Amino acid sequence: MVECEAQLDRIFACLSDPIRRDMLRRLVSGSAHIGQLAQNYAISFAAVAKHLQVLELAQLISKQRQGKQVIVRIAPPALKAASDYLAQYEALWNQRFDNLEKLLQEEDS
Amino acid sequence: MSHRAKVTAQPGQSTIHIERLFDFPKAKVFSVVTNPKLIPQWWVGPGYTVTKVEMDVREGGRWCFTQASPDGQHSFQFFGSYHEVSAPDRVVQTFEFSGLPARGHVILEKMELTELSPGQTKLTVIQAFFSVADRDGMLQSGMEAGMENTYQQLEKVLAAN
Repeated sequence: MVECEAQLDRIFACLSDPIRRDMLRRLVSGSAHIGQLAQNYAISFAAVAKHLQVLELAQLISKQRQGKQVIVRIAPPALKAASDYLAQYEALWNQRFDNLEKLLQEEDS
Repeated sequence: MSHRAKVTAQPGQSTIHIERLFDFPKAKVFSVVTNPKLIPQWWVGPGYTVTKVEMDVREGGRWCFTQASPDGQHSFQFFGSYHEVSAPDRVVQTFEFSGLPARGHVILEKMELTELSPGQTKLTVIQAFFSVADRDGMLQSGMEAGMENTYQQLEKVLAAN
């Protein structure tokens, strides 16, 4: 549980940076090699690699060597922890709206 | 069976969209959601109940819901002010949670009611946060069960950002 919380902290810290968010957005639509990804940003290749390292540490992406290229892809399992909170939030709103519907029905009768 | 709520939060965006259909006319839904007496009966949790409701539903008016933990040990407020009240279509309001370690994490919330056909209404709520970190921090903290745990967690997330 503690480890899980530490992991969540890393995920939220990761998502607080606009370049890392942009990287994730691009990777959602498909994997890319590092060179391709780096072309999108006016920062050094080393800085791009550093951002990718942060994303990898938070297990938001995975890297795989393919010949001379390194392919980067999004890692859905890590994002699940964040989406679990969204699912709980949805459950909360479902509860509220079900209550609301009951009130509307009572007002009707 | 009743309709289900759809809640979406796009990665990298600082909003949350909430949507739900009701088989009731728009005016009726509006009058129920803006009725302070009915708030404790539907605006729940997580794990807490509303013990006090203040709602001055007019532009510039203030709203404040007090919630308490089941043992009565902790209480906190959700509060804000009404920016626009256009019955029976739309309410725009600010939203802040007193349980955060710092002020300034304010949400702008727009609720809209659209009558899709006579007697069927779509309720949409858009919550706009200052940043993705604010949004995700709220989602995370809001869903933690114990308040003490929430404070600690939130402080960590805020420190990390």
